[in-house]
Amino acid sequence: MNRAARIATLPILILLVPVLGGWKFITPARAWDITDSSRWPIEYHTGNVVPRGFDSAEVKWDMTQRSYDAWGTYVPCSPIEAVRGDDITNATQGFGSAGRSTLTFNDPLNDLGTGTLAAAVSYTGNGVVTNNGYTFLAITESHIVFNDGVVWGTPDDISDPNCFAVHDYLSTTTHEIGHTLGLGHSCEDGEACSDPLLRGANMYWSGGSCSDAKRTPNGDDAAGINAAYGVSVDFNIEPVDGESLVGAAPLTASVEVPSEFQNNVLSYEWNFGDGTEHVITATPEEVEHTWEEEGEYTVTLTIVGEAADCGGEFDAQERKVGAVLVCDEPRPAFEFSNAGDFTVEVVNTSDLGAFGCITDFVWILDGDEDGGLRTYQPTYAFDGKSSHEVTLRASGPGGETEITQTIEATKQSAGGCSASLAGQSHSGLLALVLMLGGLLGVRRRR
Amino acid sequence: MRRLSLALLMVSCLAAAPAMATTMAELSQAELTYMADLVVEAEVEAVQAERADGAIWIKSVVTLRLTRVLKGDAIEGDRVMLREWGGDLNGDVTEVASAPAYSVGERVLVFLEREERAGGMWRTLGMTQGKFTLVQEPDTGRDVLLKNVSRSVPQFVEAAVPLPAMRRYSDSVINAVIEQTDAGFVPAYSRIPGVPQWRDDLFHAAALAAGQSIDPRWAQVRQKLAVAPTGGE
Repeated sequence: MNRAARIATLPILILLVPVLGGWKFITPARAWDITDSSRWPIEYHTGNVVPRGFDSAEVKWDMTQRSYDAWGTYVPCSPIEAVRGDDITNATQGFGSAGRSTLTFNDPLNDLGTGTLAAAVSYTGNGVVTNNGYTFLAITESHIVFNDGVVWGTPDDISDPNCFAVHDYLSTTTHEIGHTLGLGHSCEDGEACSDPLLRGANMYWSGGSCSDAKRTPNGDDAAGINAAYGVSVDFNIEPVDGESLVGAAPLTASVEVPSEFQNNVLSYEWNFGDGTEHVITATPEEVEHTWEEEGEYTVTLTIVGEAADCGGEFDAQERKVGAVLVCDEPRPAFEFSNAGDFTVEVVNTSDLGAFGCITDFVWILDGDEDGGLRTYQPTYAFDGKSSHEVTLRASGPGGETEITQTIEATKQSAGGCSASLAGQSHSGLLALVLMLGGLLGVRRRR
Repeated sequence: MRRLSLALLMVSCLAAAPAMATTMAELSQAELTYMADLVVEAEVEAVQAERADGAIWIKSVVTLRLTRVLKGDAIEGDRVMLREWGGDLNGDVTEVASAPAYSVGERVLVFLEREERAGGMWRTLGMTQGKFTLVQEPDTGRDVLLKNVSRSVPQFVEAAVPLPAMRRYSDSVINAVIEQTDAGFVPAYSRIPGVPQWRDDLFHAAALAAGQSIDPRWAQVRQKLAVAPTGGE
């Protein structure tokens, strides 16, 4: 089988479409109907206990109100409002439907497990809400449950130099309220989350103690809440002279604002994320941009508009995080060492960069293309003393590059060698090649 | 991408759907291992959505067939049942951010704890933090660890899962779990949110027995948490 045919039969290993990051709606999308006076502003009820770490119920009430207010105060043009109602019985509430919105402390019904600070649930009815072209299920009530085993703190507690193992109530409560308003996490556990704005968002998936770094909703949080409740903007980005927004440098794409987002806009400012001058236009014409260097680029549109609902002039922003991935040619490199018993351990030292520009590695022994191994770094075991040509081929959006060097399998362990230059592969011996590592793991019953 | 023809479709079929999400404290691999009652490789045999009496939300009961036990009182071939937030019951969906989703046919490496309630099942420790999907590297047979690949996938097809170029192999984590468990390793003591008092007491005692120099400020934290909250009558 020739190489081309073989590749065609392989499972698809390469994901060439960038995953657009940024704020997310919880699914299915949901929001409060701010025109429904029976449910808006949100009336919330706190459990009738004092959270551990607080001195009084007044502190709890004050901190909770400030958490709701954060979504109105720090988000331009946001209509978010909430008022406190009477306390509810903490011991019996939890997540169950109560016909009103609640906050329960110390997880009285043991709904949460280890490692969870708090959780929120929202209920919807049959109504729908639309805003900015989005359609949402209308939220009818929401419930926040704080876990047991947590000491909560006020801003003074958190900023105290002697703060120890205290969790910021404002950060966590603002985050949970964000969920009850319809927002999901900016990033989840296990996601790369390379964008600092997403890592710094209040809606990031985790939070540490004695930190207020994510207390205030940031630009990403604001864009999400404004998409659901305020004035929002969006744009399209398309490749020019190509099929993808992922490719070799230079890469050119065009951006444009759909007509539904052009109302009441006074100016458009484009930031292409590569340090070049921002492009500002008074009209929504299509703009082209070329990225010259390797990188993962976030494209940001900031508009200035004017609307009576916002009290006059306002600005709104939309970011497409990591929308464009531009890659140079891969730079494969590897080192090896002889581990004895004719076993050679290979260490992949390729420059992976920060942008995922290498999407595939293939290891070819003695020119045997059909026997190429798609793995990060193999270990080779041979029958006896021998010399072999090993080629590492790396590929990605920027192209394909390979290097070759000779490895020696000996009975006794010895030092290694490294290679980082492009070279040629050679056909050679068909050796007995075994993959070790996982295959040698002894299955045992414990 | 977030445009709403899809949302309209969802709205039409998912009315009255609750959704839930969380804030988490990050757990280290050593903390996951120590706090888990059971650490296993397993295959997902069944996922059954359920709605408790009187509840509006849906949870999923997941049946795991254990293929390798790294820690805990179980053996290969045993079946354990987890109960996790979220699920799809005849098109009625509860979606829970940060809750681990399981799909039939999926192979997993999981850190599990028992629910602290009567009739409790198991649950994944630290929500998504305690679950890794295992995907075999076709050319070598080695298992690669992946996160968040099975959400919204009713039937898991391992061969269809794209693997990243830079791979984290399962043996690195499995070996660490085995070594730490065999050695009785106790991670540096901290009061982990959500850990029951009795378990924290054991953790604290074990840390002392292991000769750890525990920061005296933890005593104040433990004292605060040992006191019942005021109010609530």
